[in-house]
Amino acid sequence: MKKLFAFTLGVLTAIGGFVDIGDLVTNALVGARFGLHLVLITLLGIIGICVYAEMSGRVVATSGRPTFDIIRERLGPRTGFVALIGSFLVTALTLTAELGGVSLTFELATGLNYMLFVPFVLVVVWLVLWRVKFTTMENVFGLLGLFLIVYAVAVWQAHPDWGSLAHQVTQPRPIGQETWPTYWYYAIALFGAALTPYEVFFFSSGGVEEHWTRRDLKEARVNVFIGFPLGGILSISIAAICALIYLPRGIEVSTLGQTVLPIAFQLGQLGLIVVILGIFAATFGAALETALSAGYTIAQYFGWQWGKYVRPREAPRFHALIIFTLIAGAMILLTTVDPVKVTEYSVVFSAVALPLTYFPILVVANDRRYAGNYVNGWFSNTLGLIFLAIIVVASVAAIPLMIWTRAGQ
Amino acid sequence: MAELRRTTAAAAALLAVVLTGCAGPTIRDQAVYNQADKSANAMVSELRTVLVATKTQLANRSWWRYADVVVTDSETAATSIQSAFTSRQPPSRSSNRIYADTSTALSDAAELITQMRVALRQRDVTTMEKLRPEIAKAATDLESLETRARTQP
Repeated sequence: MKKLFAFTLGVLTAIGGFVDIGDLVTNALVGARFGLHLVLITLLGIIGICVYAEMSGRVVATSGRPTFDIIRERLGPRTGFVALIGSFLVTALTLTAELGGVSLTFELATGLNYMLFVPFVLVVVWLVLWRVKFTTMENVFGLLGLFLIVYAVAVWQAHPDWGSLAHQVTQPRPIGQETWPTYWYYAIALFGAALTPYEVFFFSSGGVEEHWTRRDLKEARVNVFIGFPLGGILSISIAAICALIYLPRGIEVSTLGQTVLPIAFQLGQLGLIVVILGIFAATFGAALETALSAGYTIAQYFGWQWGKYVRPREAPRFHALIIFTLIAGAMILLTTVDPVKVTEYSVVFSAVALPLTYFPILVVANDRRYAGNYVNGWFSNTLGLIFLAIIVVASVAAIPLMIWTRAGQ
Repeated sequence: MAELRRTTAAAAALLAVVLTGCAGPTIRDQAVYNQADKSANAMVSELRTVLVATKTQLANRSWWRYADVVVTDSETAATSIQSAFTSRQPPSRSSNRIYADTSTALSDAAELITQMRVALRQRDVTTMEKLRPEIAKAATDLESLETRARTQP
């Protein structure tokens, strides 16, 4: 049983990373507008996050210290501070989107306006963070998030022309009236969503919470190489079912309700129940991850006591930060801002902040003081550098493309 | 000093453009055609979403409250698409026709979605079944309008 649950940290991180509210909407939107012509970007994102999550997991297992703690020490307080601010703001924005996502899930289930649920969701997320053990949290939400496999089942049940889908995958280009700038805008959004910074903060801090040592390197790698590709498959399934149901009808996705509709259409009420439960678990899990990551990054940078493995009274500033970020997120939502729009922007801003997260990890993973004998080999470094180059290009192009395409319109 | 004043004036003008940019006047016929094309396209998306949602509900494959959320979202989007288009004014007579046809079609489409939302909320299956072909036709008509707007010289 212990072995069965050994990879749930990776699964929970990946569920958050690949099928949180941002990914759900972005993947559905992209599938409905571009078919599977952008799937190669998702595959690229899966490889990218595997490369860097493996590095950060390895550093944690060998040094026993999480990412931001080391970044500050290795790169100095100033560079670390820039990375901290960029990463924290994106994480806080993502948390806002996730709180909105959980509330929207309640709206889908009950028909009541999502705004009514925002304060309730805020309190429940905080209670779970305060009272529930880290391992219980990751097991419950990581495994419940797997309900989203229902998207893959729906694709299979739709009896698609597999040859046509495969053809779309191998033709990375815009279709119909879509333009190249819009295509690249969504490519960056998908890539940014796959490599959201909080994933590595949560994953590496989670390794510390679980007391990883060198003996757990294998577990860390299993988490990476099972969890993230699994999350990626779910992402691609969402795009695929929307490509099958929406693309021929000219439907564009702009709400969470539309993201769920193909499942009801294809699998009926049971499918609808399963998918809503899956989305609840994925967005709630991502809300927990982002809230914790907001606390992790700042507490680790300033050297405060942090973590769920210590009692809340021993890490008051860490828990105060979490509460503050949660309240700020809920207050933003209560201004009636559209949570789906927050989601879309959080994904793009995440792409902008990527180099601030991933460059320091590459540096640290090459430093023997932290990674010991487990520093990057030539293969990890080659992949790391290739992805760093892609990350920098995506980061630089994200905002100009957002302005040029009017956020993908 | 003069340069500072010019810079301030330019910044103020830019700010005014940014602040009022959302509802700026349509100054070219081509802009009307583009807007008609985009609005019709977006409305078709909402109409077809309603068709899929109601087909699913009528086949008992979802539940009423969920279908209500989807159709209400579409209604909100449809109203916004319609009002955004009709708030503009055609700059010349040559774009009057497309403007008028698109305004009417968008308004009719939004009205149909509202009627469907009311029927759905009242669980009036007969009216829902009656409205479905009308919504399908409205979508097809809007697609023709979209093509017409796109091929305007």
